[in-house]
Amino acid sequence: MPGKLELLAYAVTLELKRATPLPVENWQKTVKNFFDQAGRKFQKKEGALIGHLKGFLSFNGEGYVYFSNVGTKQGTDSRGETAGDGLEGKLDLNVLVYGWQKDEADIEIGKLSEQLAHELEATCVIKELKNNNPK
Amino acid sequence: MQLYLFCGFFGSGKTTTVTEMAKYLVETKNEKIMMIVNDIGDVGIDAQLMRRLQTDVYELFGGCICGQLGNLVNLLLGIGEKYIVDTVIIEASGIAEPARFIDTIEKFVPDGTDVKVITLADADRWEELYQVMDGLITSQVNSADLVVINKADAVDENVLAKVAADIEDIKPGVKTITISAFNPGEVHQVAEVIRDAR
Repeated sequence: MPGKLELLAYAVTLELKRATPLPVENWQKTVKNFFDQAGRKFQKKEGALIGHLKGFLSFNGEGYVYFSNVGTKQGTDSRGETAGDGLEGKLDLNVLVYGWQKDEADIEIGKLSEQLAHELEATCVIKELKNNNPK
Repeated sequence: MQLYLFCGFFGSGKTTTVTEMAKYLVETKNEKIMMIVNDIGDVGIDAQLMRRLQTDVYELFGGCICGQLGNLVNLLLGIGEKYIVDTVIIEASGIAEPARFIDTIEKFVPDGTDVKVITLADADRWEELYQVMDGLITSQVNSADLVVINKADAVDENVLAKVAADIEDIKPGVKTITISAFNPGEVHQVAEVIRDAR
């Protein structure tokens, strides 16, 4: 892995809204798949390294799910309170990756978000997309 | 009072470990816990999880905790008056190097506070990370009173032995414990071992 690896850090919030409620367990399964795909995508690039892909999915009610992916074969760890249904979910993401430029990561995050919304049959608003590289 | 500073590269299991440890200390030792989380980004993921687990959490944003020392000192100065606690647990971000701020912590905690640095090592990614992040990982291990080799469930014994040997090379004699943080009982062992570390 040549050269000095630069950390690219994003904070993103996706607001996902469905027409009908969906069991939180199904939200969890679909968002876990989103993280698995993101893990493979961000790991695949030559010279890149995943620091951490993590997220917190919350609803107006009690349910929530925490997601964590570091690009290993174990895939995404997800856990939380998954009883009940969710109509509108807020997914906060932290994307901490090395060896990616902001513009190319923007594109991947956008594509993955679109796909997630499609799979959830939900509308998706990217409420925040911050490049928040630590000094 | 105890102050435990948890560090370790991204994804090494800090959040899983500290949330379980806080729960254990509250439920079995009846301790009052103050949790301070240093996250990157303005959207704190770890703190959201901890709050759902009924823990009081204070957030420090901005990458390395060393860039947030003013806010950290203000929290530490409130201990004993504004915040009545038995144990402070700080979860540093993955890029934090304790050597850059541990002196400040020790200076501003109440007299007699037992300060311990616990470094999490990700056994599953150790070989890859130690090649490309050697400076950061070496620094984190060098500052540790206790190194927790995590994700033992994901690797075989040879890998665990290699991780332990590398850690011994970096800091000879440092105390280590090998766990899977997904097993609460093993995190509870960490809580007990910490008090004897150093």
